Amino acid sequence: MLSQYILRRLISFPFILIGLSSVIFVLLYVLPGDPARLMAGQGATAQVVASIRHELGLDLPLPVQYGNYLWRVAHGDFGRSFQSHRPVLEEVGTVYPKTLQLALAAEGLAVVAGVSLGLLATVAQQRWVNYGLLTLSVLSLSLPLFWLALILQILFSLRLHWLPPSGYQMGLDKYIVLPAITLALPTAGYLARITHAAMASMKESDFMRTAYAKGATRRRAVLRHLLPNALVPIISVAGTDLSRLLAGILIVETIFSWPGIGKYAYDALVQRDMPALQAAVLVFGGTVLLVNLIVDLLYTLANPTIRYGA
Amino acid sequence: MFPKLKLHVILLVAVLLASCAPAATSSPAPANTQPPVVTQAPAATQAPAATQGAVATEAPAATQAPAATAAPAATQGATANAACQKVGGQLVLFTSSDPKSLDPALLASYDQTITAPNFVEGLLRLSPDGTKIEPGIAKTFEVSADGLTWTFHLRDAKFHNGAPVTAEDFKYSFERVLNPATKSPKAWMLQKVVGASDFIAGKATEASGLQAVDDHTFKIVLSEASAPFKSMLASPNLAVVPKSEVLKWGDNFGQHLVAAGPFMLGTWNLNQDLTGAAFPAYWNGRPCLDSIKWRVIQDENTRIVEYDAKQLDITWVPPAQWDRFNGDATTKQLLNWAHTFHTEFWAVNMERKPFGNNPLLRQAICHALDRTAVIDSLQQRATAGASILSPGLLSFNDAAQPCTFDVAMAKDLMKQAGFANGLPNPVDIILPPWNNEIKLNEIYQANLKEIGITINLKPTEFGAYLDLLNKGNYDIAWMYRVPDYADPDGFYFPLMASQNIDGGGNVARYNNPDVDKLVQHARGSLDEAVRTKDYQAVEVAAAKDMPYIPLFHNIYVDIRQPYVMNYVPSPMDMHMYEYVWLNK
Repeated sequence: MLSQYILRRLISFPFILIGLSSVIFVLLYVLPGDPARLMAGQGATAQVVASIRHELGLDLPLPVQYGNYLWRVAHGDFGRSFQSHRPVLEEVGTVYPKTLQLALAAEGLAVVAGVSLGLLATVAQQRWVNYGLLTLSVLSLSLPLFWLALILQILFSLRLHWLPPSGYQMGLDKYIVLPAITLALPTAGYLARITHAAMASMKESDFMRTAYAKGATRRRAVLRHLLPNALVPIISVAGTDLSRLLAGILIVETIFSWPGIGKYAYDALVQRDMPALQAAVLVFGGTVLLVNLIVDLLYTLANPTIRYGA
Repeated sequence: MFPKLKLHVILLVAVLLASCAPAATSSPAPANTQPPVVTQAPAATQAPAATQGAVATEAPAATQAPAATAAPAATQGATANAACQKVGGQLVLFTSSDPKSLDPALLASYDQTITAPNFVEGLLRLSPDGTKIEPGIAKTFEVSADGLTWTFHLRDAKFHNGAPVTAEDFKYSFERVLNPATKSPKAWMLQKVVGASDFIAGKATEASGLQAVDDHTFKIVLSEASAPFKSMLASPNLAVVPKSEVLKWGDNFGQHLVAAGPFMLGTWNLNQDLTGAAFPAYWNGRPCLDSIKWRVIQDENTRIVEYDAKQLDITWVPPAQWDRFNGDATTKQLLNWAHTFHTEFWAVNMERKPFGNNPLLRQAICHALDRTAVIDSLQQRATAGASILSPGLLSFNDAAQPCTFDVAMAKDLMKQAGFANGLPNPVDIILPPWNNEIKLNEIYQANLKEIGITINLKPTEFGAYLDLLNKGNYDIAWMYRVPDYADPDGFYFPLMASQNIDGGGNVARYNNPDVDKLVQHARGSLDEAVRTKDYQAVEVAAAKDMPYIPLFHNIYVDIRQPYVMNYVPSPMDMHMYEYVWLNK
């Protein structure tokens, strides 16, 4: 049953991606701005621009251009960047893992910090701890990223000399610390609130009373009974919080000179580098579809009463 | 118990995965940064002149080199050039975006022009301070009396792969730029070469005007005399490349550049950094530095933090940091100035009413703008423009005065123009969405309100903005220009010649047969005095007709670390690091 459901979802992916790519194609076509002109520069003559346009195949009718594009993509050829003349898949393959690396680190930090904070706030006996933690989470949620980033840079790089202000290294190097913290803070704050809200609403529920009645310690009741039950809202929030994280990633990549896909797609858009932008968008889109599928499947694990298929 | 524990771990990992996925968006929000707009502006004295059958002098002198004796050692080995007091080390710089390709034939973007000149070289080259055209791989050259035949005598230079540079290589490189399959945006620089159009059209297998006489003699025959040709030959776009390497790498040549400039391509991580290594066999002696590294840092504040952390050796000074660096006696000494060839002005669409058919209205605008206030807000990093031509170029007239800021006079001109009560309708001014520029234009907006002209600023995404400009879909446009080559022709020909209406650069759609004749005449003459006279006549017509309302010329200022020696910024964004050395 479940495998059929997964199969059905997977089969739908190519169609969704084709739809996505055609929307992008039309949007780029409708947008004013001529890639050939941008390549040729301000002072180039009309003939030069026309000849570049011809060489790029941009003088063909839109449906023909799009048809050609789909045909090539179907054969695994995503084209070459207008700017670098390099295959765009090669370039996306270079930058995308770096975005994943940062996102993964940030989200790991956010989930660990957010859920722990929420948990602490829930179980805290003293009122002030409770309020203090929640205030902290609201604060982290409301700080502008660029400001936070700058403060972290000044504090940890210029004052304390602990960490480099920006840049990139493979793996979990010191370079990832500041961007990951910057990116993680708002999500952590949000998750802390969600965790706290979900747990607080279930703290008095029947299954908790049963757990205590069976003689469970407070620690055991919270970790083994309350937390698993609160996971469904946490997962759904973490899953749907994608757009917030993404918006953050673009800013954070810029501030910390992180060579990820955000900067790549931004440059491609500015230069109307259509093959590069298309490839970036398709990779984004494919990931989102995949992640949504995974999140849906996780619900069934977190709450066995949710069932898909047949 | 364990299965449940495992489940929690799986769930946590899954949550991580779920949240790390970027959403499907096609337009990542532009970060709050923008290209360094206020780049350069030359204090350069005197213009690169077209020499008259002249023999270029040998030996580019190291600029401002303390203790640098003139002639660079003509060594072929790893001896450093004469400007180096110390040899070694790495200079760390920035670009705002990855240059993507260093193929000389394809260079066009800002990030390419600030990096590429250090890797490539052609027959001639610009001095680092941008004021002179120096011999490059051509040791000397002569131009025939009719200005049509240019003969270059090549020195013993080598490509980065060790192969000698020959006249045949120049013929190949130039034909490659002309070949439409190369998609070079600068093919027009060679369009006056005899046989170029047949070659482009595929009617000939070679451009007959490009002749390799022997290994060390390269001859170019033009179909008409062209004074700006000399400055075009100093452009990185016409640098020499070895055929074997171009064929070997094909479309990927831009990332595997082999050329003949002072630095060789080192490691290059997309969107992260680009490194150049000293070329030991460079004809002028190897550069002082072991290597240069450009880090891709888009954010202005990050660059300053990196500079303060001594991780960046030179960085542009953004307005917010000006007082800090300029106000302190120690850091003030570290500022480097270039009066750039970057001019800002308003283009007026001459085919649209009410401005296009009413010169008095354009004059009124010119006198209503408070350039001093704008220059104050630029922290004096600009000079008021009397014309679109930058100071430092041939024919620049020091005596010409910018429009005086005189509201009474502007109002009087409005009256004469038939708009005593101001314009009935508001007017749009298009400009790219760059915050610094928007702020400056708001000052002009307030100025024009005084004389009864209401303007709306329309910040427009850069690609879309260029489209509107080239198609003439605007009334007034803010714009800037850095010429493609260091010659007045780089301003007047594209902006003023009527043949360049519709995409060639004449965005004002200015059509004045007298100006066309003057611009053509100046192009065809190699006599500087004649050319100066022509261009000053063009300037008089421009001041009267005012298709472009001059605003100001930019001054570029960056700051270096105290140990960076012998650096001068370029007025054309082509910063060169051959003579820079590190005192540490």
